[in-house]
Amino acid sequence: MAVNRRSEGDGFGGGAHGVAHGGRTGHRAVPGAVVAVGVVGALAVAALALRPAEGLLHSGRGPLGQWGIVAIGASAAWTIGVWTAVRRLRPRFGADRMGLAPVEERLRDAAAPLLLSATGVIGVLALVLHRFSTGDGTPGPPPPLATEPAPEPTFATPPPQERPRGSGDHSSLPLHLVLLVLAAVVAVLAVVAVVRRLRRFRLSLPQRPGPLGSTAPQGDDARLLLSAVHSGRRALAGTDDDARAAVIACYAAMEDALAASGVRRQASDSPSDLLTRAADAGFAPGPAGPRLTALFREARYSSHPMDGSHRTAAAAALEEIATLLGDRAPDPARDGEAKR
Amino acid sequence: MTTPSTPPLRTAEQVGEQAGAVLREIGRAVVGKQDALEQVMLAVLAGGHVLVEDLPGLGKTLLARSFATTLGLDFRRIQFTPDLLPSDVTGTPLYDQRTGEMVFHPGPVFTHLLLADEINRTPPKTQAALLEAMAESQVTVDGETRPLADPFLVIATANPVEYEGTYSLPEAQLDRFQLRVRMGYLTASEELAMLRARVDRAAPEAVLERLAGPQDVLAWRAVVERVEIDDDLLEYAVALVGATRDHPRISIGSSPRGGLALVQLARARAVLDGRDYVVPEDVKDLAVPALAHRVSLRPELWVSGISTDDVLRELVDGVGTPTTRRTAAVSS
Repeated sequence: MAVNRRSEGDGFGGGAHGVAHGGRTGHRAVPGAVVAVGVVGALAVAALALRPAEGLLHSGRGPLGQWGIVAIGASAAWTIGVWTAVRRLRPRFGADRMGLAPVEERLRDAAAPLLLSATGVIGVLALVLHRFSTGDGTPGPPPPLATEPAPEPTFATPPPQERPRGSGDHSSLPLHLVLLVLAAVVAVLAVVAVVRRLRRFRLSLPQRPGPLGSTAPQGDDARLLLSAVHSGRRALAGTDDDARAAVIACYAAMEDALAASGVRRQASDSPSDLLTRAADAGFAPGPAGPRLTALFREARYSSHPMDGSHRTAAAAALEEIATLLGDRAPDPARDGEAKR
Repeated sequence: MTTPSTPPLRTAEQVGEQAGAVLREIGRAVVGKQDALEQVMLAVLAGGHVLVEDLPGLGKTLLARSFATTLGLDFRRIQFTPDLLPSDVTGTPLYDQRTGEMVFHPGPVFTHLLLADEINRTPPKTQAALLEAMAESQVTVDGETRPLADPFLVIATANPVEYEGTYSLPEAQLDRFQLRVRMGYLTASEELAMLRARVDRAAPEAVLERLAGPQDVLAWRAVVERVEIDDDLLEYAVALVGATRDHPRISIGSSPRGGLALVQLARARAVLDGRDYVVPEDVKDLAVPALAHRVSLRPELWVSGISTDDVLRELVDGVGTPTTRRTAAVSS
C-alpha cells in the first residue's frame, strides 16, 4: 500500500519536486576495472609501507614506510575516498524509508552516521600512529629480531632502559597537536552542520542586538534603502508602455529596499508575510506599503487591463515610501541621494 | 444596461459583500469564531463539504444551524448513532397499500444543508451511505438513482477525544470533505462577550435573519467559477500537495482531490475578499484546512502529540511561493 502511494505521489508531484530541487542529475558509474586497479594500487602501497612482522599499531618500516609523504598521501586519499563514498551513499540511506519498520529505521538512523564517521576516522588514525622521520632521511637500523630468548629479569637489578631508536629520528606527531587539529575540524564541521540546518528550516542566525530603539534604518542602511527606492524609480522610467511591468517594478523596488534593511523575503513568504515581517522588524513602510502590495497583486496575478492610473498610484506609493525612509535617514545620506 | 428578463451577472465584489453580510449576521449567534465561520462560508461558495472536528460544547451544531437559517437553506439533521442504518440516511421504499406500489420515502439526505452530527459514532456501512451523496450529489436506492437538491452541503461534526464506541472515518471518506475546520476555545474576552450577549437577549439563542436563498448560493458559486488563477499559483498548489507526499513524517500524502479542493477554496476566498483573481495568500492560508485531514502521519508520531496540522504548517513554511516577477512572459 505504501509503495503504491509512493509511486502515485511521484507521478503527480514529480515535476514540481524536480523544479524545487534543481533537477539533480545521476552520477556516472565508475568502471569496475578502475575500481580494481585502485584497490590493487592501494594494497601495493600498504604492503610497501608496512612491515608484516610487526604489530598493527607499530610504525611501518617497509620500503616506503620511511617516507612520511606516503602516510600523509595515503591518509588524504582515504579521507577523500570516504568523503566521496559518503556523498554517493547518502541518498541511498535516505531512500526507501517507507518500507522500514520503526525499529529498523531507528537502527538505520543510529548505524548510518556511526559507519560513515568510523571509516573517516581510520585515515586520521593512520596519520596519528605513523612515526615520521625527522633526521636526514636515512632509515635507522632495523629493530633486532628476537632470535634468542630474553634473559630472565631479576629483582636485584632494574630492567635495562630501552635504547632510543636511531638517535631520535623516529618521532611521532605531538599528540596535543593532533588533538587540536581534530578538535578544530570537528568544530568547523559542527558549525557547518548547524548553519545548514538553520538554512534548511529557513531560520536565520540571531542578530546582535542593537542599541535600544534602533530598529529604524540608520546611516548606511538608510542609504541602501533609498538607493533601492531610486532604482525602482529608474525601473519605472524604463517601462513607459507597460503599466503592469511598472507596478511590479515598483513593488520589487520596495522588496529590495526592505532587503537592504535586513528584512529579506523568504522563499515561502507571501506579500502579506513580507509586510508583516517588515512591521515586526520596525520597518513598516506606512500605508503606502499595503497599497503598493495590493496593486502588485493585481498586476502580477490578474489579467485586468492596467493603465496609467495604476502606474501613477504605484509611483505615488513608492514616492511615499521614499519620503518615509528619507525622513528616517540622517541628513548626510539624504543630501548624498539628492545630489544623484 | 441589462434586460429585465435576464438576471444580471454578479461581480466578485458584490458576492463578497453579500457573503460578508451573511457572516456578520451569523457572528451574532456564533461569537468569536470568525476564522471558522469564514472557512465554512468558503465551502459554501466552493461547493464542498465541511468536517468540523473539535471538543464538545464549542458551538459546532449552532454554527451549522446558523448557516442554514441565514442562507435560507432547507436544513436537516442526523444524529449518528451506532444503530443507525444506511436507509435512515438515504431513504427507503415502502409499500403503499392504496396503490399497491412501492413508494420511495426520501431520507434526511434530501435537503440543502445536512448536519451529520457526530458522524464517527456510526459504523462504516452507514458512513459509506453518505459517501455517494457527498461525492456525486445523488443517491442510489434499489438500483434507482435520485439526484439531491442543489445546492447540497454536508456539515459533519466529529469529536476527536472519545474513542469508546466510535468508528474513525476512513481516509476515503475524509477525502470527500473539502476542508476541516477546528473551532477551538474562545479567548477570555470573547467568552465574556458571549455570556454578556446571552444575558442581554434573554433567550437561549439569537434569532437570525434570512439574508439569501438557494438561488443566491448557486449564483455565488457561478461567480467562483469565473475567478482566474495564475499558472504560477497552480504550480504552487501542486508543489504544496506534492510536498505532503515527500515529507518524512507523512506516510500517506494528499490525493489529487486535495489539490482540486485547495484551488477551488482559494478561488472562493478571492470572491469572499471581493476579487476575481487568486493571490498567493489565498492558497497559502488554506493549505492547512484543505490538506491536513487528507494526510496520515507515520505511526511512531501518533503518540508524540504531533498533529497533521502541525506538520502541514511546517510544510507550508518550506514551500516557495511564486517569485515577484513572472517566470514566463505573458501578454498583459
